[in-house]
Amino acid sequence: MISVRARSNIQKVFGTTLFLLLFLFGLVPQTYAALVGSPKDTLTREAVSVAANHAIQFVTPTGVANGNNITLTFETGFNIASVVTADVTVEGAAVTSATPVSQVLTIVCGAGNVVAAAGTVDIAINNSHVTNPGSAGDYTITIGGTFGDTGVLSVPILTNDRIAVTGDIGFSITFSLSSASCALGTLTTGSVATCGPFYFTVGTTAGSGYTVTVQDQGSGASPGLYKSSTATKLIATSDQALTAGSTEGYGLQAAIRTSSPTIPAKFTVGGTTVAGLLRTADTIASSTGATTVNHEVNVTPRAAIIAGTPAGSYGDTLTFLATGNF
Amino acid sequence: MKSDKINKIISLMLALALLFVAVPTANAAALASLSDTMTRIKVSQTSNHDMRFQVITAMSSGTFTINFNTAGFNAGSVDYTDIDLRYGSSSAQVYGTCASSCTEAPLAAAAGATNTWGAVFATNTVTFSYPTGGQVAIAANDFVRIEIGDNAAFGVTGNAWITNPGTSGSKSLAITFPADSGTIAVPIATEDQVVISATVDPNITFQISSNSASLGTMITGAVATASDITLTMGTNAVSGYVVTILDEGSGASDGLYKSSAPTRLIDSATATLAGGTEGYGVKAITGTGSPTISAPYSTAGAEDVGALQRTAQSLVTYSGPTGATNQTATLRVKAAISASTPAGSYADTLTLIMTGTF
Repeated sequence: MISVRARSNIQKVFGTTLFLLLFLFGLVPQTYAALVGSPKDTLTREAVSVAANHAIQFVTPTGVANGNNITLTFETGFNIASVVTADVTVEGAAVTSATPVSQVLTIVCGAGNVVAAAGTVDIAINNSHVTNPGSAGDYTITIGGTFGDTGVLSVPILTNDRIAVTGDIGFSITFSLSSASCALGTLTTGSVATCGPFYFTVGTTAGSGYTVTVQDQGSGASPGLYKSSTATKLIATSDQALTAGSTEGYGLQAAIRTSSPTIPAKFTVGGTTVAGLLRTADTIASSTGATTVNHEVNVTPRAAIIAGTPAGSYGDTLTFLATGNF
Repeated sequence: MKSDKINKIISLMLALALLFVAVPTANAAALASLSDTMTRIKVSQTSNHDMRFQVITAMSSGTFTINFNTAGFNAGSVDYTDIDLRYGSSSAQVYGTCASSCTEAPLAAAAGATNTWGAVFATNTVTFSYPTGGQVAIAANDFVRIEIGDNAAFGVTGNAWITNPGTSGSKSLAITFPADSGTIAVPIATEDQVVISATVDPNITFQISSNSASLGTMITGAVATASDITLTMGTNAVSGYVVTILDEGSGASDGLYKSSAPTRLIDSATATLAGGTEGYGVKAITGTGSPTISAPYSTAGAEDVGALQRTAQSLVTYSGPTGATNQTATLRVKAAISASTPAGSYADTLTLIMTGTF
């Protein structure tokens, strides 16, 4: 049993000791690192394992003096090994060096770089030289350095930080002919006959454009301007210059009427030169992309005869086909 | 009480989470490079279809469809015999000869166990069914070509066609695979043909190089021959032409005639003339374009002549247009006298007529 007196003494001793300790503690000078204010880091990508730029911002109660360094300690998982001095900027001043060692990036601010107490520090780490961790989660970046303040911020790393948005434009292609007939009239040996031009119009949303072909009926066996009554006669068609009275022949010319379709060179001829027709589908116009406005192409048939070209009625059928390349 | 509420909330959240996991997310890949080349794009016309595209995802079971119905096409009686299906990794082969890296799929009304695909139209939608016994699968990124109409020539050549919609405009065809889908649009036009017409009028030309032929002074020792006369013919008459010759003679009889008293007629007859034997006639020789010389004026002998008559006789003919270059023939007049042939001036008129048969 401890007596009442003894207990009182013990209390006094403890009380005195505690007083002294508190007194002595108050005499020892203490260094208090201030906490940075409003720290944040804006990443350009937050997906796992992708490279990103960082824009780190905080308010420094102490300020950054000439020659101070700022350290950024990235939590394990970030890869900062590729960061070089040229990647790093501190707003308002030159950066003497930026050196990554393990997970710590040390940024030394050059002379003249002063951020006043209570000022805002903006640090940018560019060129995608920091690679995000390979696992999703919250990761910390600790702020420190000889400038005196400390702080911690956190950034989220996600499995996927992007949403693929897709959309379809309606699939469409239209085609029309301005006329279903073209009369060359009475052919003479005095001039090259012509009719039209008629034109076709094509428009499409097909991403790879369209192809318009022309196919000649001719005699059913050979292309050309055909007299089907006895005695039959075919005015042949080929790439050639027609001369009235001396060059019997037949063919087409084509030219842009509207917009910018591509027309094969053999059709874009002038004068009395024509392109020969085929009994197979032959491209007369095309585009490699969707048409913002409809394309129109003029088509001009031309024919010439010689004195001995048999008299009679001649005819031919041109079939136009448009195909979208979706 | 409070515990019950918490349990209910947790149950609801679990149910929603499970539902989210259970509902299959439709991430159909888009078919690539789609096209459908037709042979006619006019409204209500029948047409072949040549459909080409590339799949993204492999197909080794199930079905895929092409829906012509929403666009207004009518499949009519088209069946698997009018359809070809081929696929493979080489676009050049699949869209070409299908000689290698390309599978030409046998088709039937239903999928078979022996590598046969089913291909059936129903309500204008064609469904292709994967063979029940397996087949060379459509691999990821394979190219696919489907032909419908008489361009479907594998096995038997197709003899039925899909009929185009009755209205013009852009018509969309949906293609649906188990994992992929796509849409092709084709244009349907009011007219897809231009009829070209032309007329060539008949023409015919005929020229005689001289309107006189002098036999000079005839003697008994030789056959008299006048200078050659060139006949030039040109026509686009499809059945050619005929040149006839008609003799004036005495006005009553053919021949070389002395109209002064006493009149005398050297008769024209088909013969080989000789000096000392009275006779008269003409011969013709083919020239440019090789027109045909009619008998009896075509005999080869130097002194052979054909008889002239007071009715038109065919001299030169041709069976078609003369072509770019006119044709020619030579007319040669010959006569011979005997010792008793009366002296005097003899004359005759030959009338040449060209007729085209158009």
